Amino acid sequence: MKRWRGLKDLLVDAVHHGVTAVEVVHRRTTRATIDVVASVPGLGPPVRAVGALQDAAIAATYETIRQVNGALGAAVGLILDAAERLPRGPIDDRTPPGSHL
Amino acid sequence: MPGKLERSLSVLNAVVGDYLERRGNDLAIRMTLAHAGAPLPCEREALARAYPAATPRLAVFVHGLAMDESCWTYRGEPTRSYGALLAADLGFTPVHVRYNTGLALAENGRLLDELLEALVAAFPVEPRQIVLVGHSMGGLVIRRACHAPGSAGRAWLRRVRHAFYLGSPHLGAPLEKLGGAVTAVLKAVGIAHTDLVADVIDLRSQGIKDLGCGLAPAGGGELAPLAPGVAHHFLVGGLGPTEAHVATVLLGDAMVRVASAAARLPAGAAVPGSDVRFFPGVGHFALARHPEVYEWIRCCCAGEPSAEVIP
Repeated sequence: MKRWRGLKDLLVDAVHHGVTAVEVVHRRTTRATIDVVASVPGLGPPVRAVGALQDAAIAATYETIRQVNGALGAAVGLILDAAERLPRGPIDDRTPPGSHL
Repeated sequence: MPGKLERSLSVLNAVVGDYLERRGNDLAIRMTLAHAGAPLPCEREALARAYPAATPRLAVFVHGLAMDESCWTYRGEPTRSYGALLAADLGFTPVHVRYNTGLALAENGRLLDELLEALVAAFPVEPRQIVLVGHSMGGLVIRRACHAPGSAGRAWLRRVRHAFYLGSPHLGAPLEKLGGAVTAVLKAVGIAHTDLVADVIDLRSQGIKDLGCGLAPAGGGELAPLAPGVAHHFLVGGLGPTEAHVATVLLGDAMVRVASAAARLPAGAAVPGSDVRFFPGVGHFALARHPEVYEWIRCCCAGEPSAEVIP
């Protein structure tokens, strides 16, 4: 059960860090495009305003993914807690310690 | 023999073992003895049960990166390994170590020092002679353990007679150096996408990163000295039929180059008080289960060395 919990924690961490890394790339890429378009005379202020909105939308999207990921992790943690509290059968002495999840 | 799950965990620990340890994740492997495919507590009763015919001669085996104790087992012969052969031929008791190969070499050295001290204290028979055998990273961990803080005067170190380093990258492994170079180039490009790829490559554990320079100081200079009073044997594999063959010169044993496995400094100076044996046509992983390599280990342990001794 400890290993299931470890696997759950690792997956939650991987999704969290992966999403954050992709978010950084996404924001840098869109910012570069916005900067190019904003350099056209007369387009600067409106394009920057659109860029700010887009940036906020991107941040909200990825933050939502992180929150859902965290909530799913917590839910799986509760399921594992409940499974741990279930009554167990007789201990099988032949099973080597640590050889099962 | 460890199951598929244990082997998968060994690989996972090699890649992100230091992260798992920092996060307190239960997938992190703790350094322990391993017996019959399972962890073995370093306690007198457990050791007595595991080794009912324990002898005062211990052979301690330390595996390499992303491996476990199954790396010592001959292919297709699950009961045949250097440990089993040493037990049959010379009366050694083989002891296998399992550990998190993603941790820094210095940390694993410290943990091995503590484990061996506990082993000597709890072993059912008082050990009089210890032989250390390390494959690849395992050899570096052994050398680190010999110089771990506080290891001087340790009971286990006083009993060590031989240390065998099988394809250990004392001066570093080219693959890790290449990984470091690729990361640096990708980061220097400065584009978001290449930065992301560089970050992914950079996720590799501290244990892997430490293999880049082995035991050689990153800024150059002398290797850490070998533990005194111990016969150090550097067993080197090579893909070619001779040490001078182009395949051996370029690729070594496919993972570690000859100069690194023989602990030769770039100028060509070898580590004093050691011997080096080259095994032609033996690749990196085969060094841990090869009849000729075993024969060399057996000869050395039996006091029949005819190695090329480096003054």
